[in-house]
Amino acid sequence: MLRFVLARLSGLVIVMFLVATIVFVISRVIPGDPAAVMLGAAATAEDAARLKAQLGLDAPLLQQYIRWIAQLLQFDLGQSIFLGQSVNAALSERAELTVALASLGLAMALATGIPVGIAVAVWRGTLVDRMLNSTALLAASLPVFWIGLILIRYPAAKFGWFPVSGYGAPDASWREKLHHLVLPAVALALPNSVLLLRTTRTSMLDVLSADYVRTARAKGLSPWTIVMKHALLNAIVPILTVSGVAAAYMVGSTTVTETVFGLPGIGNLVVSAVLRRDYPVIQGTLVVISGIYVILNFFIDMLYLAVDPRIRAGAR
Amino acid sequence: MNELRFVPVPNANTRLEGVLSGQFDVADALSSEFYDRVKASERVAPFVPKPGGWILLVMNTKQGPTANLAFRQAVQAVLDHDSIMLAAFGNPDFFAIHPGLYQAPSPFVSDAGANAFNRKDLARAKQLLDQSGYKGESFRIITSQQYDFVYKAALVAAENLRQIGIKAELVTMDWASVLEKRNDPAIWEAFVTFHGFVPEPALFTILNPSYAGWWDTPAKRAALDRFNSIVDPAARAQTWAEVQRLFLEEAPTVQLGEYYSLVGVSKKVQGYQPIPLAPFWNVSK
Repeated sequence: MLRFVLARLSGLVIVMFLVATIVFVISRVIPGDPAAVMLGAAATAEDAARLKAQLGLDAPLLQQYIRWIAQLLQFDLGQSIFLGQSVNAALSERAELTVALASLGLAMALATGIPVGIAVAVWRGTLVDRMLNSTALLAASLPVFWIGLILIRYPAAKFGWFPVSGYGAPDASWREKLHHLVLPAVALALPNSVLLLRTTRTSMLDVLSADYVRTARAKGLSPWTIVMKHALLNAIVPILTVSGVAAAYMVGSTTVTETVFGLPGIGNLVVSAVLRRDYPVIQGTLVVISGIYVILNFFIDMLYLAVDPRIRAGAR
Repeated sequence: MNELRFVPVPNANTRLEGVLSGQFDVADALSSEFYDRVKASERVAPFVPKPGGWILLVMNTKQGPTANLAFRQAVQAVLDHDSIMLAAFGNPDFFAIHPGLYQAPSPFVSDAGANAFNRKDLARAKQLLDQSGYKGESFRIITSQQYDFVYKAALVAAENLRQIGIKAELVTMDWASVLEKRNDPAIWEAFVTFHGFVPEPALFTILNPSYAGWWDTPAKRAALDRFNSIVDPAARAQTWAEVQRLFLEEAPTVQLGEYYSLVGVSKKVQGYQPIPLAPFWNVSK
């Protein structure tokens, strides 16, 4: 068991090193000069070159890369070219919003996708199954930004039930902040709840047709016990996998939702950083988001051990 | 007012809905397409601050076909400013087309060189193109969809140029890449950009020989030196006319038009001044 865990952890370190290298290379390879962006469209090449030297961006790439890795080993993500603050501080300021948004979105997706997936599996072939499947397919086809714009147009702007954008005043209460996050979380949750619904349905259908489920029915167990105790626990592994993917996706895909809803979170930060070529912020944010993906996957791997004795036995 | 809160909202549609719903009191940089919705609102009034900035087609005077004066004059002669600006902004209330950079009541208003401006003269353009000895080289316009009015202007300009046989092609990239790529004279013949309003003509970036486009001729240097050495305002205005005439005759850049933006202001706000970079002094609610 310990060897299983250590193997997973060492893989995590290797992946993070590769990610750090790849984001460095990609951010340097794409054309665009942060100094020119900072100075604006009216700047000359000489102005931009002067600023670039001041910012240390004219140092050889290998030197910049070594500095980046050395900082990373000390958990220092560098200094933002545009924000005048450390990347660590910039991310910390915005982390609460993005984590809250992703968490609320995930909670909504889990609370709708899994129960509805179970229901349509149990009612397979009925009108309810067909209607919900069609609705799910439609919802999965809608782009997140379009869902966001519709939510802004009607529940927010037209009916006034929710704020149009933002995260509230600096002194807003947690209730006000939550109120601001409801619509963005719905936009984020919708495609993921469809994914969870379909995965749950497929997984449950496989299990519900198994011999031991037939035996459980023959023994006279209640439908609730059969579905929730015997079938669901055996169907849980793929559902856990997709939940982990959805959780990681939530963190990474807040970019579009935060841009549409004007939320000053990590997603918005990385979009601005890419447009401005703020290399430290691009690198730091992508490393953090990748780290979240990797840690979430590790956590899901550990959950497999907890819920499935077959995997636990294999790990020993 | 005890507090002014400036809230960055990247998405223009979200800014619009925010001011229409009352969440914001002022929404800046709204698209001209939203004008009718803002006008129809009971809560919000539209403002179009003037003067505005300029949309420019900057040409590479250093190398390639655009290094040739007759070629640049051909480009200038064929461009249809009305179509370009209408495509870029959609509503004539949001742009103005005039040969000089400035309109009344600026002291720098002038018609000098106006006969070269917005001619839409295909015959004259073809004649100038032949004169330039154009051999069918690519006319690469670097542009970006990040600013949709820049992109649309470039699209229509490219079509105008194709009418006289210039092989115009758009090279599209994000704005940060445009700012870098334009420093390399080997890879473009033109780019479309926007220039913020400057009340003092000496601040017009195209006059700087180091700025991409690299307009630098003895006549221009002499006229600019004269302009910059004069202190008397009336004399400066007269000398500026000479610089403007050269700008239009030598056509290093084509000033396509002046553009304005839309600001939505809550009707509860008093004292808002519809000028560029509006100050919020003395506003109340």
